[in-house]
Amino acid sequence: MSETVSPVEGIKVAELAIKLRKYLDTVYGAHIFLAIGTVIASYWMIIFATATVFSLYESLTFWLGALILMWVLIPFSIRLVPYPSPIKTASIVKKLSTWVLPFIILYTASISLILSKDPLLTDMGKNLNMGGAGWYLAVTLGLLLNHFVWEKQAYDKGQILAKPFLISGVFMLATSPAVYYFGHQDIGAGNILAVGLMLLGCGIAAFISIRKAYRWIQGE
Amino acid sequence: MNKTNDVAYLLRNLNSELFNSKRFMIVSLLYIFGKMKLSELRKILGLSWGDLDTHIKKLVEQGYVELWKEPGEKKVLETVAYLTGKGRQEYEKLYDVLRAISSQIETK
Repeated sequence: MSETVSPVEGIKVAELAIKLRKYLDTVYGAHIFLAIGTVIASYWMIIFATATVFSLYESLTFWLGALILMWVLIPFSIRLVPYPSPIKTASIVKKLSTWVLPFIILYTASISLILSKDPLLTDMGKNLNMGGAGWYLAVTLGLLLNHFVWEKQAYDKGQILAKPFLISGVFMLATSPAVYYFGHQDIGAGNILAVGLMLLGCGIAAFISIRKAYRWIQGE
Repeated sequence: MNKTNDVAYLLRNLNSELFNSKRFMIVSLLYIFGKMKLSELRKILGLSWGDLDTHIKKLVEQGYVELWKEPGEKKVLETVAYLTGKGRQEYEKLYDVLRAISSQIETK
């Protein structure tokens, strides 16, 4: 090996490295989506089944416990797909707040309204809770917040080839009226629909990302 | 500024630490994979331990690479090299300069 790189060879090697990096980062992002979607969806299915059998739908402690446990599951599901990426996404505090804040705001608002004595406010609280599927809206907001906090910048800089947070966030936002409607007909049906649509949203985002990465590596 | 001067200017702006062929290949591999065991890097690039150590030390001094100990096979700790954010940026900058040189030469 000579001491310095020949510019022509250097360009070829660096071009290949940059291309592979973008491909791997995009495919990794897609796998993370599938991992998180699967873990969270199965988790909520178990929670709903437990709530139904043990009549826990009215228990605030049960739902708060279920929410807190979900925060343990998110980092766990990300760890299912280990992959070192030099992409700087966001600080731990920012990442955590983009997921936790929508839940805190949404649930604090809806529970406070439901507990108020004014029937109008109580109704507003129930509407915000989407008949027990308010978590769907919180996840949607979390996805969109993640897009604006770091995904958009990474995409604009050309570090990633797809925007799975935006795709799934928009999909879930567009389908939230259906969840709202189902939730008000039947709390169980609303939650099952929400889980199904969340999985579908994660799947669509992941498959679009993988397709984009495939087309990129094929030079299309 | 004429073309020859442009190329000379670009050449002066090349990152001399990364422009070394061995360090360039080390950083290229780390750019793709994010992190690699030193033993893996040595095997792929066909370097001696002394040679790899010299180049890795220079990259660490520049803040392009970080070294960590991680459990490897049979739970024995192995040294792993990570590319830092600064390393990634410098690598992309070097690529841009190389491309600029190449296009200057082509248009001459």
